[in-house]
Amino acid sequence: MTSGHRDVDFDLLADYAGGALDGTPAYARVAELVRTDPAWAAALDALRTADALVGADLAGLARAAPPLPDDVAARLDRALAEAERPVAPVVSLRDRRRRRYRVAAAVAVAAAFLGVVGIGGYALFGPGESYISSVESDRAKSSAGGAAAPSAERNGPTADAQPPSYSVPVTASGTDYTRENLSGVRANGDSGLKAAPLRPPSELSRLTAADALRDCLASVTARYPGDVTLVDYARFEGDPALVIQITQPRDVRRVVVAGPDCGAAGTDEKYATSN
Amino acid sequence: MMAGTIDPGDAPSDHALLRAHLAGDRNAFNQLIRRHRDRLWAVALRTLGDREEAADALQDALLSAYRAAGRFRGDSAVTTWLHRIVVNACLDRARRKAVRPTVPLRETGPGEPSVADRTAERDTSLAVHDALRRLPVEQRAALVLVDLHGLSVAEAAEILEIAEGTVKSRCSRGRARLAMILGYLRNPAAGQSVPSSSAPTPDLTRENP
Repeated sequence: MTSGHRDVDFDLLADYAGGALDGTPAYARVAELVRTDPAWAAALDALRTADALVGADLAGLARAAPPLPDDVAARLDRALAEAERPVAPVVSLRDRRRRRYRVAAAVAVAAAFLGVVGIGGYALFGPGESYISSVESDRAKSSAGGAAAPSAERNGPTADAQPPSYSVPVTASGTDYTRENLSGVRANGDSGLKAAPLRPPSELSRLTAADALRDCLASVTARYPGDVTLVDYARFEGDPALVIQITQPRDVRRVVVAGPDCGAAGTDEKYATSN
Repeated sequence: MMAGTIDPGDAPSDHALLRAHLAGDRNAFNQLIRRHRDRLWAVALRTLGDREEAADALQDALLSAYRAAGRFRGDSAVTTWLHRIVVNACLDRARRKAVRPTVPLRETGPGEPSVADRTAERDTSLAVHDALRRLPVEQRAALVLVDLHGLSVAEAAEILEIAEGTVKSRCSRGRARLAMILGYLRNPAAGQSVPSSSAPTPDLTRENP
C-alpha cells in the first residue's frame, strides 16, 4: 500500500484501534502501516481523538435512556393478558371495557360465521353469530345492532354481558398495493366498498371462509390492537394479500398486509406501516 | 414454598420466576417482565430508532418469550435470553421493513416534554440518536448493547450470537462512522462523511478473533 491519506482504510483502522484485530495477521499489517506511514499514523491519532468525543456523546445518550411510556406499557400488559387467555371463545369483562380494542375481543367471542364471505360487504361481529353479507342487505343489519342473543354454551362462562356488535367493511378492490401506495387505502372503509361483488385472488380463497377470516383478524389484532376499519382482498407487490386497516390508539392508522396463511400460521405478515 | 410457585414475600430470582411461569403461575411472567421492561424498551427504541416500530418489536418479543419460555435452557442469564429475543425481533423488523432513516425520532407522548422544552444536553442526545440511526442496524445493535447499556463484549456476543471479535469490529466501525456523521472525524481521502471502506465487518470466529 502506498503512502497518503487516500489509502487509509478507516474501517480497518477502527478494527485495529478497537481491538478487533488482536491476535490476527491483519493486526501486524496495520501496525506496520501505522508505524511506517505518516498518513496512517495521523489517521489513527485523529480516530482516537474523535472516538473519545463519540464515547462522551454515547455516555450522555445512555444517561438519557427513555423509560417505557405508559401507553406502551399498557399495550404490553394487554398483549400478555391476551396471551394468557385460554384459546376457547371466552371474552373477559376487562376487554369489554376497552371499547377501543373491541375488535380483538369480539372476534374472540364470535361463533362460527354463517356461510362463506360475500366480498363487497361487511363482516358483522357480534354475540352469538358473525357473518359477512352483501352491501345492500348488511347495512340494515349493521345499523340494527347485529344478531340474535348468544347461548351460554357458545360464548363461554364469562359471557355474562354482551360485547358491542360492530361491522368490519370488506372488499376486493383488485388493487395491487405497493409500499408507496398503501397509504392510499381508504381512511373510511365504507367508501371503499364495491356494490358489485368482486372476485378475490384465488390464493386467498381460504380466507373467504368466515372462520378463517375471523382467525386471521384475531391474530392480526392481537399483534396490532385496535379497530379494524377495512379488509381488502387484494395484492401487495404482485402477491395475493389481505390488506387490513386498523385504527390504533393515539389515532395511529396502521395498514397490515397479511399473506394467504394469515390465521393459520400466525399473521403471515408481509408488511405493515403506520401513519 | 412449593416448587414452581412464588411466595409474595420473597424476592425471587429471574430463573425462579421463569420456572414459576412454566409451572402455571400466571403472575410470574408479568413480574419478570416488569423487572426488565424499561431496559428492554430502551434497547428496542435505540436499535430501531422509531417509537412505533420499537413498541411492535418489543410486543412481538415478549409474546415470543412468553410462549417459548419452555425452551430456555438455563445456561445463560434470563436477561441475556430476553435481550436476545428483543434484539432479534428488532433486527428482523429492521431488515424486513427497511425502516426509513429519515423519519424523525418521536419519543414524546402525552404528558411528556415537548422538544422545545428539552435541555441542551437533551438536544445533543437527540443529535447523537439521529446519528446512531444512520448506522447499519447490525452496528447499531452492537453499539446499543455495549456502549449504551454497558454490556460486556462477551455478553453482547452471546445476545447477538456472533463472535466477540465481530462485536468489537461492529462497535469500532460504528463509532468511527458516528464520528464522521457527527463531524468529529473527516475522511480526507473521500471528502465525505462515510468511511473509506465499504467492506463488511469481518466474520471473526471466537477461536481466532
